[in-house]
This record gives sequence, C-alpha cells and structure tokens, in this order.
Amino acid sequence: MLESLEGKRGEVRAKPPLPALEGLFGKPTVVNNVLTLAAVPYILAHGAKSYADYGMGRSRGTMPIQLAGNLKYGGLFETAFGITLGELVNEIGGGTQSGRPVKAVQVGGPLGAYHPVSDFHLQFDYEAFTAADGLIGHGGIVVFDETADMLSQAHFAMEFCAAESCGKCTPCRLGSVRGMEVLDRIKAGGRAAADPVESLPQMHNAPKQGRSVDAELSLISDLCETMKFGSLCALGGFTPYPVMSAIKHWPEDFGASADMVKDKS
Amino acid sequence: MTYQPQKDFGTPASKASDIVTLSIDGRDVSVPVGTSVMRAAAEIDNNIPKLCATDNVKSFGSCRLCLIEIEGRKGTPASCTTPAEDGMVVKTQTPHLQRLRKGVMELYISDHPLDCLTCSANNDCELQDQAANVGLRDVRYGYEGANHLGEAKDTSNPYFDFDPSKCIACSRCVRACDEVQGTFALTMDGRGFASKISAGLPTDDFLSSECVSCGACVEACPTATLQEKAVAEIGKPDRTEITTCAYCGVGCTFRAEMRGEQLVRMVPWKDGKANRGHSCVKGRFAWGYANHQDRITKPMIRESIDQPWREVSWDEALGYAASEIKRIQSKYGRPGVGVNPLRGQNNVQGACDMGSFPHELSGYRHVSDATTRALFEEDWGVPIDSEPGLRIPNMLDAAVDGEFKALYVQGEDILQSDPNTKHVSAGLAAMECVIVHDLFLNETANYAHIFLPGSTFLEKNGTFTNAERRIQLVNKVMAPVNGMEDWEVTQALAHAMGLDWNYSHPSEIMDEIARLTPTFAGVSFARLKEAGSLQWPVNEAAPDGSPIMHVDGFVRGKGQFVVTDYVPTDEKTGPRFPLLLTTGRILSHYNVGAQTRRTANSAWHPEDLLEMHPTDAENRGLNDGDWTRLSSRSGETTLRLTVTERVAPGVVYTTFHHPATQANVVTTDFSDWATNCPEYKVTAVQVAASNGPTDWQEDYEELSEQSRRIETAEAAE
Repeated sequence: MLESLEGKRGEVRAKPPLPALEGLFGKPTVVNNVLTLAAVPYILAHGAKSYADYGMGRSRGTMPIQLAGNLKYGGLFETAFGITLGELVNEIGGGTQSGRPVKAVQVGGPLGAYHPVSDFHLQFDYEAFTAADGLIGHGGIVVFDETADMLSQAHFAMEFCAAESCGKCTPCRLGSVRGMEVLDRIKAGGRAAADPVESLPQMHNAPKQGRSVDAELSLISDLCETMKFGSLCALGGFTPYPVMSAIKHWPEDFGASADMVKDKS
Repeated sequence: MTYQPQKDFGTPASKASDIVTLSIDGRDVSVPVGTSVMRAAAEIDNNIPKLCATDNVKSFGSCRLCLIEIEGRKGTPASCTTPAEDGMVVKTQTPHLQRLRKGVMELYISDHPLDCLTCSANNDCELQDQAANVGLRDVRYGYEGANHLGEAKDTSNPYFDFDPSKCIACSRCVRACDEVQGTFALTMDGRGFASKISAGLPTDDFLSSECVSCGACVEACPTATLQEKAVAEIGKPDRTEITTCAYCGVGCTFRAEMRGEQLVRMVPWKDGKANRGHSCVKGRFAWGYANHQDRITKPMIRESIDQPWREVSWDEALGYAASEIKRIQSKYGRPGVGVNPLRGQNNVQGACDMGSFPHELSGYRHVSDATTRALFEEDWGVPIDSEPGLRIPNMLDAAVDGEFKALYVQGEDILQSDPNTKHVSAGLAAMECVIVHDLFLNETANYAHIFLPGSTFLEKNGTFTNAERRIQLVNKVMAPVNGMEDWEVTQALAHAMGLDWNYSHPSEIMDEIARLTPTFAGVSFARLKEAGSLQWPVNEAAPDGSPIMHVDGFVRGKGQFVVTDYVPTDEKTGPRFPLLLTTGRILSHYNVGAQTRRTANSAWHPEDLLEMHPTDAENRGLNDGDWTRLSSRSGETTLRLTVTERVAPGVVYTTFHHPATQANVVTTDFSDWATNCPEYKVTAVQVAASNGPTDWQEDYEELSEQSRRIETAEAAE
C-alpha cells in the first residue's frame, strides 16, 4: 500500500524498517485497519478497562465476525472474543441452510484453516486458534456441508494465492502455481510415469518411474512449509493453512493411502 | 590473478561508525550499525545462499534463499533485510533452513532451462551455484508445468543478449538500472507468475528502449539472462587484470577479464575509487577497436602526401623521423616549440600535470622560473628555453605563415577535432614534416609523412590521471600488436636522434617525475599498486595523497574572487546566417570517434545528425530525415536533419564524431582571449535543403582515399 501511495509498483516491503519508523516517503507512518479505528470511540468514551473487560486471554475487546457460506443466517456480528466456534455456526448462524451436516468451517478468510466439527469447542481467541493450527485473521467464517470436496477447496486456496500474488517473492510467485498443478495431479491419482523430460536418458539423475499420490502429498506438504516460512508476506505465508488443514482433516478427499492417513492422524 | 568473480557481500556497506558485535554460527563478528546480517556473515566468509541480493543495490528480500534463524525470535527472517544487532545469535544452516532453501531452489529449477553445460553462464551462474549449495537433487514438480521457457531472445543490443527464458525475476537488473545507473529503463512488467522484465513498452526492445547500455544490469544479473555476447562467443575468462579505462577523464578502473591474450569482457572494478563498480557503454563494451582491421601495426613513411604510404621497419621509420627533425632544426635553426595536450582526453589531467602546456614544466611551474629550469637542466643535461612555446592554433597560424615546419601528433586527430577544418588542413599541408603516432590512419594522417603505429591502453603499462587528480595504474593485459608500447616508441625515437635514454619500465619514468616534481614526490608504481590510486599532491605532508586540496586555505591565505568582464563573441547572427550552431558529443561516441566508430557503438549513432527545433524546420520547409546543407562564413557541409524540441528555437546542434560530416568545416577560428579555447558553441549558420554532399566533402573524401593508399613491403619488392 505504501509503495502504491508513493506511485511505485505495488509490492510488499521487507521489514524492518517498520512503517512506524520509516514508512510513507521514508517518514514514520502508522498503518491501521478500520477495525482498530472503529474501536477507538468506544475506548475513548468508556475507558480502556471497559473495552478490555470484553474478551479472554490475550484477545481483548470485540471482533466483527462475518458469517457466510452454507448457513441459515449469514451476516456481520460483532461480539466479544471467547465465543466458541460451535456457538457461532449453530446458534448465531443457525446451522447449514442445506440442512446437511457441517463438514468444514474456514475461519479467518480465504487463507484461513478449515476446521472440522470436532474443533467446535474452540473459543474465538487468537492463541486458541493458533494452537489448533488455525487463525482468526479478519474474522471471516465460511461454512461447508458434507458435499464439499476439500481437494477442490485446497486447490482454490492456491488459485487465490496465484491470482493475488504480486510476484516479488519466489515461494508465492512460483509456489502457488506449482501447488495448483500438484493438486491437479493428486486429483488425477498421481503420475503413472515420469514426464517426457525426466524420461530422457540425458536426464540421468531424474527418477524414471511415476509418483504416487502419497509422494505428491509429501511434495505439497514440503511446498507448504516453504511457502509458510519462506514467503515475504501473509499471502504466501498463510496459503498453507487452508491447504494443509484440508489434507490433515480430510485425507480421504485427496486419495491418500491408508498408511498416510494413519501417519497424519 | 586466476579468474574469480569479484566478492559480493550481498548488501551495500554501512557508513556508520558505531560497531555492533554478533555471533554467526558460533563465530563473533563486529560490523558497523546498519550492516545486514548477510553482509556481516560475508565479512567472515560465511556466504549465506542468496540470489536477489548483490552489494551494489539495496536489499530487496525477494528470493527467500538467505533465510536465517535468530535466537529468541520467531520465524526465519531474510538475512539481507535483517540489520545486525549487538548480541544477536544467528544460525545460517539448520535442517529447517536447509529444507526451506531446497524448496525455493526446487521451485526455481522447475521453471528454468536444464542444459547448463551449453549455457553461456556455465560455471559463472549464481543460480547454478545455489542449486549446488542447497543440495538440490530432484525437482519433484517435474518439467511439464506452466513455465516461462521458449521465450524469444532479445539480441538487439550489440553487446549483450536478453534471454527471458533464463530469468528468475529477482529484479536485480531493474534495481541496478534505477539505483546504479539512474536511467529507469527497465521495469518488472505484470505481476505474480506473469512477472517479467521489460525494457519499457511492449513494443520496445533493448536497443530501441531508454537503455544506455551501461551494462549495470548485465553485471547485476545472476544468470545468463543478461549476458555479454562476447562471453557467449568465447567462453568464461580465466584470468583478470586491473587497469584504467582509456576513454574520458572519469578514470573508471576495470577488470580486464581475459582468456589467453584474448579480452573476453571489461567489468567495472568494485574497488575502483573513481567508479565503484560502474561505467558507461564505452569503457564497458566499446573496446573492439583494439582488434579492428583498420588498425595499423607497421610504421610507414612517404615523402609527400600525394604519395601512397610505404611500410618500413621501425629502424627505418625512426631513422627517417630523426633525420627529418634534425634537418628542419638545422635548416630553420630552432628546437621544438612546445607540446600540447588536448582537452577531453582521459589523461588530459596527467598530461597537463606533466608540463605539456607550452609555458610550463611539470607540476605547473612556469618555464620562466630559473630555479625550476635549473632542476631539470641538471637532471636532463640539456638547456631549457625560458620562453613559452606556441599553442595549437598558434602553431597552425604560424605554419600557414611559413614559420612552423614540423609536428609530431600522438593519439589525437586535430584535423577532425579542431575548429575551422580548412585552416587546420592548410596549416598541416604547409608543414615539411608531420609525424602521426596513432592506432589508425586518422584524418590528420592524411597530411602526414611519417606514421608510427601506436599501442592501445590494453597493450601498455603506465598511469592515467583522472579529473580529480587521481593517478591510477594502467596495466598491460596483452602484448602490443605493433611491437612496442608507446613510451618505448618515444625512447626509440630518442635513440635514433642520438640520445642515450635507458628506461626499462614506465615505473622508472614515474621515479623521475617524483624526483623532479614536488607534488608527485611520494608517487611510485609500488605505492600506486598498494593504495589502488593516489590523488596528488602526494608528499611528506600528505603521504597518502590529497582527496581535497586547499582544505584550510589557499597558498595566498583566503581565496580571492576576481570579477571578470564578460567578453561577448564577435560571432553574430544576421540575415545570411540567422541560426546559432552548437557542437558537442553524445554518450556512445568518444571525441572524434576514432575508437568508438570502430565498435558496435555505431548502432546508436551511425552518423552525425543536425538537431533543429520544429519551428525552425517548418520555416524552412524541412522534415525529419531530410538532407540539409549547413553553412557558415567558414564553410559548409551536409548532413541529415532530426527535428526535436531538445534544442531551442534559433539554435541547431550537431556532433563531430564522423569525418564524413566534418562539422568543424563550419566552425570558426574564434577563440577566447585567455586560453585560445575554441568557440565550438557559437557559430552563426544557415540551414537549407540539400541534394548532395558539398564540394569540400567530395574533395576531402577523394583526398582521404588517395592519402590512405598503402604499398605493403611485399608489394614494393
């Protein structure tokens, strides 16, 4: 955003320096989202303690939550941190609109993790979701019923990353496209044979056999590690959340072998 | 020195004075505040894998190879964008980091050609190095995915190719163009997977773009995407020699990268004090003249300029030159009257320092000063004239008047460069002996009787002194094709004249300079080699030289400002010559173009063009590209017109790089009263449509053809 405001190519800046020290045109700059600014009047009117009394643990105050997807009552609800995921989906959202059982809930936005029903006890709290390999993100919640194909959802996450990528860092620029391709191959049941280039005798070091679904899953897992820890910003860094949570909780949607499923559980 | 790439610390040095100490892989290192962890590691030869970082541009943090772990911090920050802090404990190699790096390299190689062995950057490629460093053994993505392979190579630049299929989108070229050169010719087009380097608009290639071909992007590129054509053709160099560029007065130092006696490329030297790893298109690429077919490598003589040249041995040429000089001296009873440097040369400072003004001895000491004269007279054993000699325009005037008889011109083409060509040619034609010592049969040589072949800067040892008084070594990287370095030719001529000169190396000449010149007292080749360069005065008070002079005051005390009257030129526009002509040079050519016209730099400027404002062009019914006749009271020439708002109405501009144009036929012999500096910038002219070359151009071309005839030694037998 700061690059764009300066009239430059919209790319992520490496930090440090933090914008608060060296931001727009090299001057100290405070960057806040609307959520923060919207909380200011309440805090000024009622005091910091009153605001902090809402919430739990280190997650204090309130959060506007966007309920969407396969839900009876979608919409925007502001509530204090600490409410459980189950309460949000079933009580405030009224369960699925289709009437079918919930399969997955994506929490945090398009790059949030997919949570199974067994996570419904999780309290809406930054630390609790981090501990469950998820995130609160911007508070978006999307509900899917049992007809959802989690492989397609994982693919969508990579597509989203590829479409939004600025292209500056390698894990995001190349990784998102390779991620889509690997997931496509998983859908096709892995590779029966080495590709034409690998098959050439000149490619002495390349494997001459195909790659199983398990091998492809291990590749996507390594790719997600590279993207998560290697990306310059949260786009590439968070894309692994939906992908890896989908594989972890619904390995059957990916055609993983029984051994692989067992390893994951 | 055997071939090694120049050390790359990854990020620029910090200029801070405060020091921090951190631990990197168990070793302590102290660096100035603001130094990146990457550079701190490089200081102790811990080379963290990297691709987007290079130490002549700011850190960028895009390749994600240089990740590190820092004790007490989450995650794996990039070492190039993380400043070193006191007490920091850094690990550069852990199983986690290794996996991440291998993952990044696996992505890179899934979108890169695989035939390294036949790649022009083979073994000189950072992508290849890093693939090796991270232990990549299998690209599990296979090779059928989306990619950027099979894109067309842009070969439009005469010196380097742009092969986008090999690009890793690190933006080093874009950043080099912005931060090092400041031209902003390159950009990253598109975003995400579609990101690609572009030289401006989609319709542009490198040649048609804003690119000034400085080569900063080529130097910055970690792969073969931007690479010198010469490397593709010849191969990787195997040895390097540091030397100083022979073009302008900036004094860029270069690594001449060689294979055997063949120059592969000239790479600006990062430790060069005048250029710090940067250069322009001339020094970087335009050195091909050294092997041009026009190069004259054998001495030649003739009795008169209507005769063809006759190739002779060095002995015969030098013997003839000596006898002519002696003949003229005894006939007219006068020794030489002065030596002259011409401004605009790379070593013009050095030439002036050495007393090549007609009124000075070395170190700017006037010839009327008896003490200085005595110093030289004692050392040299010859009397020195206390009267100043002549400046070049005065020599030519005197020649026309029949009072100046012989001229020895070394490495300069006064016929093309000096104003009022007709006057110069008349002066030269009136002389009894003109000796030209040069690489090529230049325009002045059309009027010469003796031609002594010169050596290029690549073929000799010595020093050049740049515009900031910086004395830098010139190191011989190949044997002179004419058989002798220029100083050896001068010594051989002295021998032929019966003098007993016995220098065995230019360093001995420098010792003599130091002995006779107080400002050079501390200069020697050994000191220059050790220090890299020295800025005079180098003496007891300033043993390491003087980057800034007159720091606390001038010799007289405070500086004295003197108001001088503006002396307007006598050259006036009027009804016959209503426009003002200004002449100058352009980036791709050097001075009279003797060298650069014999390189591919002509791609940018194949001919001199007359620049004219659209209003003036419209008034004359002239269009872009028209042949026009440019005339002044001195003479006239023809050249093509380019209509541009770069020049103001009433002003026209052209260059003097091409002898076919001879812009100086038009310029006048007006000069300033104090220094005789020619008035190149103000000539009253008229411009009209033309349908062919002028009589002067036709006659001169015929003269050139006649004058350049050579009878080879074999043919003469």
